[in-house]
Amino acid sequence: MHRLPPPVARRALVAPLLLFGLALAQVAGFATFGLSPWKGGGFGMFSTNDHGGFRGVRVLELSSGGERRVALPQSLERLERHVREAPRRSNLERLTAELRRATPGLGPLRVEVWRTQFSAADLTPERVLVASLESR
Amino acid sequence: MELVLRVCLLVLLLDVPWFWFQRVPLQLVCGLGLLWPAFARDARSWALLTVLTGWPLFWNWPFSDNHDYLRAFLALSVTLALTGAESQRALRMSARLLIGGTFFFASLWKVVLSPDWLDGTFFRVTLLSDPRFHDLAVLFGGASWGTLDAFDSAVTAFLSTGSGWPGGFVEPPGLRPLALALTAFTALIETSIATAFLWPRLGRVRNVLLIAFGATTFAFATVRGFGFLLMALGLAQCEDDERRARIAYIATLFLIEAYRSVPWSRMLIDGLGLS
Repeated sequence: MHRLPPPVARRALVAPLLLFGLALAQVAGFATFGLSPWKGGGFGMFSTNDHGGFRGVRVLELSSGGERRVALPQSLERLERHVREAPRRSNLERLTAELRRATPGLGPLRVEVWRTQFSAADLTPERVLVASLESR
Repeated sequence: MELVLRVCLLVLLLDVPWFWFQRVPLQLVCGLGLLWPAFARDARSWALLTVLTGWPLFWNWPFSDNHDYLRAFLALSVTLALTGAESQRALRMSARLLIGGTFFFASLWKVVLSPDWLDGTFFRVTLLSDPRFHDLAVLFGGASWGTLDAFDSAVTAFLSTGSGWPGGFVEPPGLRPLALALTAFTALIETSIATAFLWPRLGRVRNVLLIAFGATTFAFATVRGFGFLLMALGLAQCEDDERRARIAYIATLFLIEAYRSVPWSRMLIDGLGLS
């Protein structure tokens, strides 16, 4: 292949550089806040069982008597999926704030995002905590 | 260049975003480009297509799939190629690097970053849990529909109730060898494609590898949009004298559509009496 003149090469490199930059940012997102490997433009689909289908969000109300699971209303379904795929602290805070708005009177809450890890020996699954946040 | 632009437009027309308000404008512009060649050659049309393929990535964040990003990168590459001289050479280089980058990161995730891919666990679970792979599990992994239902019920119960694993599920003996074979094949072909498209001196094997990937992987993994985009990019990076490769890319694009629309694996299962 012949060498391209610099102005042509610059035009040709823009989209590939964006791809590389975004994919690196996606890897960083996975490492720092548990972004799903399947999402975010990092080409991690079909590379791991850590994806939305095997992730879950749990909200617990904390009291002196123990913990009680709080059901998320249908109106928060999209936000719940958002938290599941990108469990950043700000997203977890948004979920608890929206939940308090939709369900007044809730006490202290803990939001947890879990992924499922399958045993290499016999495929027995176990839950692994990806992120959690307590809010008073 | 004409052929490349038309195939890219066709791919963007057929593989569209989920929401109607993202899909309809994109299809309208692609349709105009296919009907009116001067429109397809205009960089401004492609700038519009870049916007129409790019803004859903922000709107849908973080739910977009990998090929949604690749679709926007393809539109951007064509836009920038058409804005100056030597557009075909610019697009050729962009397309080659986009394919190389895609497979570089796909390989990085699978071979280096993922905790459960290299040992075959990913494919063992996917063959049992992802309906797109069920025919493959029945045909070559010795799984029965009863086994697949049992795994699905057990996983659903585990995920929805928060209880423990009910147990009692027995993995078919043929599943692990199949998963390991798929793991080895995928690792080999994806790392080879990444190397061939990013390393300048491996031009001769590029097309063979990418066409082989399209003709094999999408037979079961019916991610049509990703396959279409890869074949369009493959076509775009062909040199002038690679006529046979261009024909093969277009033929494989139609083969990927045939894999999705013809239930060939189910017919094979029925024919072999495995249903």
